[in-house]
Amino acid sequence: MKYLVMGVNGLVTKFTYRSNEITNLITQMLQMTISICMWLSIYYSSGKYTINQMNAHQMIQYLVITNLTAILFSTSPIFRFANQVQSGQLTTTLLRPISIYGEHMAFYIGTQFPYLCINFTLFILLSNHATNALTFILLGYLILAFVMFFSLMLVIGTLSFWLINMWPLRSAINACSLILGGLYFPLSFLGQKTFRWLQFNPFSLVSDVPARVITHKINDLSPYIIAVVIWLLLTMIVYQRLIKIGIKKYEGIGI
Amino acid sequence: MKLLRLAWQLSLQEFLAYKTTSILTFILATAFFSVEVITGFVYFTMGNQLNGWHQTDYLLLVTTISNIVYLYNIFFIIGHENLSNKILTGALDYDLIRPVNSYWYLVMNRIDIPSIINLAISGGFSVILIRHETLNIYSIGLYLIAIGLGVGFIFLMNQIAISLNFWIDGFSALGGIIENATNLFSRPMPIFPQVIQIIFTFVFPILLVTNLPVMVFKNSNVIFYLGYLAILEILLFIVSKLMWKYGSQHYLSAN
Repeated sequence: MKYLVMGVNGLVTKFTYRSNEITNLITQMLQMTISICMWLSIYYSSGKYTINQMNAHQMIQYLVITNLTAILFSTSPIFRFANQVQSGQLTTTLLRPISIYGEHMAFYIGTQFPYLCINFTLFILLSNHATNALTFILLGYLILAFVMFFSLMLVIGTLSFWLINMWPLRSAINACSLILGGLYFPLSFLGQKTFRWLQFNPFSLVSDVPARVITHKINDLSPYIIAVVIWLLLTMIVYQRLIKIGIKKYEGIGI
Repeated sequence: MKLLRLAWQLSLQEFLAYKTTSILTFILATAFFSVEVITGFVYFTMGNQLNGWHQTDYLLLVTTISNIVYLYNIFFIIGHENLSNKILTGALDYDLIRPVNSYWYLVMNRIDIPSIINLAISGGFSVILIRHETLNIYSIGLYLIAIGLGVGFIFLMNQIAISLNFWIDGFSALGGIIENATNLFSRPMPIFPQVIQIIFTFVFPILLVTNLPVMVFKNSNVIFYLGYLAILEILLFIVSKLMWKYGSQHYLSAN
């Protein structure tokens, strides 16, 4: 119940700072449009119908999905946590009988709730597979990936016990999601050998994999589900570790 | 001049004091640059040209934009980051009462040292790439002028965006708009639809800023564009000065 209140809080915050949110959305949409423009002119000037077994239509679909899921998988937990550590606000959470993980999780779900809905509807509308089963598995997969991604972000956030500046991380993580998440080009374009291992990194699991399911490049999600579960367990263990060490370093007065 | 030297010394001390953070800053800041270069390779694996743009042109485009951004970062980023904070928290008083020009003092009081190393890398890259273009003293001169105008434009737009904080509260995405726009429009001009090309060349010339240094080697009427940008920047400078004047009059603090 108390976590529900936190979630609603997150949602309300989201709607209070509308201008920030709209700016982010416009940026993301522009990025998508520019990627699509770029690829259309590549298709046009190369004169080929398919590039790496992808036609222009599939390419647009792929880019739309990766860019829209990128909004859902936000890096905000890192900076919320870092901010709490550096300003000393974390003390408030520590004093209360709640878990830091749960509090952040509830807030994150709250803030991302509108996008969760948008992505779900989009996936249901776009996936025209013969069996509905795959669509349901995909939705389940998305929820699992959502939790996994959140844990990863929180792990990165705990680095703020040691680092003073967190802003360079933002550009590094953006760079990771641009390349590995397939926001600029499908991950498989990096060459088969690199791709075979690279596809199991967290950034690709959250956006490249769903996009490939929709564009009929994947029919069996099981290896990816296993990968997500492994990442989830791994990040949770690392998180527990880091928070235990970090909290001893934490002084609660702000750096 | 004396102040600049002092700023340099202070920055160097800060850099040495926070060595790990500084080194990390440098490593992570190169991430975005590498993403653009990798993307450049992927874009040009199929056809070897795109509306008259070759791979080297494209790579020169992205490295030059990095040069512009790093140059801006070296001189202005820390000043600008602190500035919006100072305005919102009411900590501007100490700087306003100093017997120096507050406009320039506030934005240039720190130098970002990690960016110098970044600039050395991207600068080295552009020297290698630029040798593939038709070179003469005239074109190199114009290339450097175009870079200078680019830095000026980014500085002025950020200055104006931050000055808006005097009147608007709670719009933290404001500071990132220019940075995002620069990253988004770091693509060859011909890939965009005509309307977008015209808007972002004449109304909000971010596309002109990113493309101009490379256009120097391709286009004949580049002088016209350079002149246009220069005149626009003079106007923007006057606007930012006026905003600073009225903003600091509007500014209130409880200190």
